[in-house]
Amino acid sequence: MRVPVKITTRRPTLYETADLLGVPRARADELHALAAELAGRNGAPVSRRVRKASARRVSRKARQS
Amino acid sequence: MHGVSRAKPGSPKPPAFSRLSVFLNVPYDHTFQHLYLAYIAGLAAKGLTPRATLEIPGGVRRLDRILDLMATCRYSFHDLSRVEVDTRRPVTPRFNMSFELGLAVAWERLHPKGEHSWFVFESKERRVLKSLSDLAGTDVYGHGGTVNGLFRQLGNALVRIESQPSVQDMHFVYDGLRRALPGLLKRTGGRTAFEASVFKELVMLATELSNERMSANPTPDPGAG
Repeated sequence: MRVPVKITTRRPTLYETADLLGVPRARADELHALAAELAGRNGAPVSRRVRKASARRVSRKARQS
Repeated sequence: MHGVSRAKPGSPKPPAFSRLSVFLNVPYDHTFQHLYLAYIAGLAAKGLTPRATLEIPGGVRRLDRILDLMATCRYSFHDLSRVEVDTRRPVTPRFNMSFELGLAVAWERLHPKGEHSWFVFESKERRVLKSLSDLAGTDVYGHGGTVNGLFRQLGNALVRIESQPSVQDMHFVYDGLRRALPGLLKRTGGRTAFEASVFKELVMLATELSNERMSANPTPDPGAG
């Protein structure tokens, strides 16, 4: 049977997932660093990377216009 | 109440209900490992948290553990691609996946307020009409036994989800899991990916990889529903 699917947009955070699965938050921090390494980054906070990417897009658009 | 009220005094407390949790009913064998990782990656990319019976500690009857976990999950995904005869002695058909699907169907029928939705996946979608003809009229998502096919069908099954990661986003998470798996096995002392501690770490890592990916490459919000 198909049921219409409607899922909230808010994604679970790493800590919420850790709490749900019963994984210590210290291990969650280690996995955060591992994820950054796998993504080819140095583990900088996501918010900083997003700001940098956003700034690059803005300056590129400014150059094009 | 979402719990199954059969817990005996002193038995492990069942986990809490979560609208983002998915009961993952897949075979735990080496030949299925790539799709097992792909399910974890794809569901995490969709903003969901896979749960599996292997993560629950022992001490309780297995059937009770399955029911307790299913009761905590808003969704269940059942992969019937390994519903076949196991040629190891004694030669036996494998009933577990279809049995757990039956439990999910019953659970959904007994709780008709939209508390549970189930989805069926198969490598050959027409085979299920022979192996489990009671499912006639049900949408079965055929993935062809490939990671790409599974990602495509996860997108089809959850087409109304507000977060719409691309297949490339799911591959990003999947590739990360594949690369990390040897290290996770070494750290946990696990022999296979189908162990509780390894499964939990894979889910955590997939959640973090997908959160980073989606925050770096946000998709336009298509609106609710």
